[in-house]
Amino acid sequence: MTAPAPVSATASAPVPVRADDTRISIWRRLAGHRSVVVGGALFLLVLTAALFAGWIAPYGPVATDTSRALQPPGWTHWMGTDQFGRDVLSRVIYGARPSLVMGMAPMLISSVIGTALGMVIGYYGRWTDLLMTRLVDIALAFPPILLALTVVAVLGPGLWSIALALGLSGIPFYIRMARGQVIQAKEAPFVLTAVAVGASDMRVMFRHIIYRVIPPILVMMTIHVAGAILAGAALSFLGLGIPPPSPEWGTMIQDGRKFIALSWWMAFFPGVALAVTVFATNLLGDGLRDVLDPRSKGEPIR
Amino acid sequence: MLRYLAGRMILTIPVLVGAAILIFLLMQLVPGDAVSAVMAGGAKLSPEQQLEMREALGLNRPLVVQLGDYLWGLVQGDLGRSTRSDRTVISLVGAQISSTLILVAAGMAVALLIGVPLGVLAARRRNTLVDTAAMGTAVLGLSIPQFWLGLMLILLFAVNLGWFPALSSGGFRALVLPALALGLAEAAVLARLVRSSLIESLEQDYTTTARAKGASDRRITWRHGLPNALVPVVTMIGLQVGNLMGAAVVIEMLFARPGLGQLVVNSILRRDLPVLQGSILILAAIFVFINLAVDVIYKFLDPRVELGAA
Repeated sequence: MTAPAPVSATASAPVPVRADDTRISIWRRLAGHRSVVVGGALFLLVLTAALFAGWIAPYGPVATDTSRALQPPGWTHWMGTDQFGRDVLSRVIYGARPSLVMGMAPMLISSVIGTALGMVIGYYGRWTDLLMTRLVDIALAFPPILLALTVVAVLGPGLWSIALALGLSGIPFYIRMARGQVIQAKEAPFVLTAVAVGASDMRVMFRHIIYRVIPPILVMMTIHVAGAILAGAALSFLGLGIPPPSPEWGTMIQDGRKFIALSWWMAFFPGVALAVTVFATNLLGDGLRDVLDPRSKGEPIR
Repeated sequence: MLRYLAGRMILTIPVLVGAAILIFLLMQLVPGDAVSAVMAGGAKLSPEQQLEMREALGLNRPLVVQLGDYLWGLVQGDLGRSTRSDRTVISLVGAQISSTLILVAAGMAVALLIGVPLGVLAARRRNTLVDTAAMGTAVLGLSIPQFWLGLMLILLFAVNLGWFPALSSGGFRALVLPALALGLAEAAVLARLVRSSLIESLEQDYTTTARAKGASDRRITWRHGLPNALVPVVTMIGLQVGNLMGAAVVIEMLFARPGLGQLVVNSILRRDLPVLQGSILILAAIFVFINLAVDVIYKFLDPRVELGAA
């Protein structure tokens, strides 16, 4: 069976990503978009910190030196030290690791499961669609972070519990998005043509409809990472994350809270790192949306 | 309108029942039960006593029966009892909920009072430095963790300037910092939405007509543009209330403010599941009802919407 290649060009697809020249122009538009460039650069910085923390960090993340406790920022400790004399800068650098895990893992879990489910129910419809839509409505009845909080309560505290909890509570958003896109695309001329020439369901879904689904899902994934990093840090702040002494930004802010009147730097710098990471991801998401999915306004997932 | 209202209200019933079932089933996945939780708390029980207690609590009945019992209890306003104290969940939640709702309302007020004007300003000065600055601030506002912002507000306004109390016990002055910490991020969301929505509405035919009739810029923005631009904002507000309720839990812990936050987090740490289950369910129910109200307002603003097409 040969693919009716030019069909997608005649359809009024918002993003005809199929032809090679448009694909190049999308990369070019992304590379020329200020939000994408700035966000991407900042995100790479955080990623580098996470990957090479062992080489970059001047001290060990849990190395204590009680004779140097609560030192203000200075030449030996750029971001000061905490109540055990641990170097805040080193802990901030190592803290990029759990934060990225809490941002990326939920995004992967919910996008894969949610998109697949959403596409299947959107395509086949009928009672599965009705049932799943009701289930999504029920899941969305819970304020997002509270659902994650409940799942963490079930799984017990820890990094991977948080990641799984945020991943599960994000699924409904992807189902809703993918389903909506598929239902719209099903009526599009290029899909009707593919069906008319006898393409199988799988082929219609994964060679044709998917190009309508991917752009908004990519945008959602990026924004989801930002939301998941924030939610993960908030859950850690509540004491439901990695147990001490491992460095994690939310936990460090909780630690710094007790010393806020004395040593502001303990809570200040982890928060800046968190804000920069989330800012980078939000910028990337904004840029991706401008280029890939200009019509949607998008809502943050938290 | 009345038919829409009735239909919309009936639609919330399966959602509420489903939410109760979902949270009930989630709680069943927690390793251990009420009896082992009591024992983890230090109580020494013989195997016979454990059996007796499970019998008394009805924990050895089939799951479906327990679920039915739980749902029947809910209908009668019975959310169960705390496993750690002898109080009913409903009394525990009832004692805290007003504090949380006040905080959420104050956070929403902050979001509206800052977000809407900022969005209007950015839309009217579209593609100028003012717009770029306003939207840059908004993305930054979206990215700053609320609990950290709250802590920095404490550092500046409580520790250094002494204008507001650091820990919030009650009263209006104690509400200011938590409400700001909570509301600024949502103000950023609103500002972005109001801007894009207002720009879209200012490009519509009715705006051109108004302009052709000689209406001033100010009149066009406030009389023609904004009311139409606010329609999607109403939907967003419904979602934001949910975000605010979730974030309020965290902010309450930060400011050591009484409310459901303390109740929820402590119930997790002490594995007091009935309290957790009840608090989350009540928050979800409030969220559902607020969204019901939002949908009705939406219908009022835009009579074209049909039932179920949200």
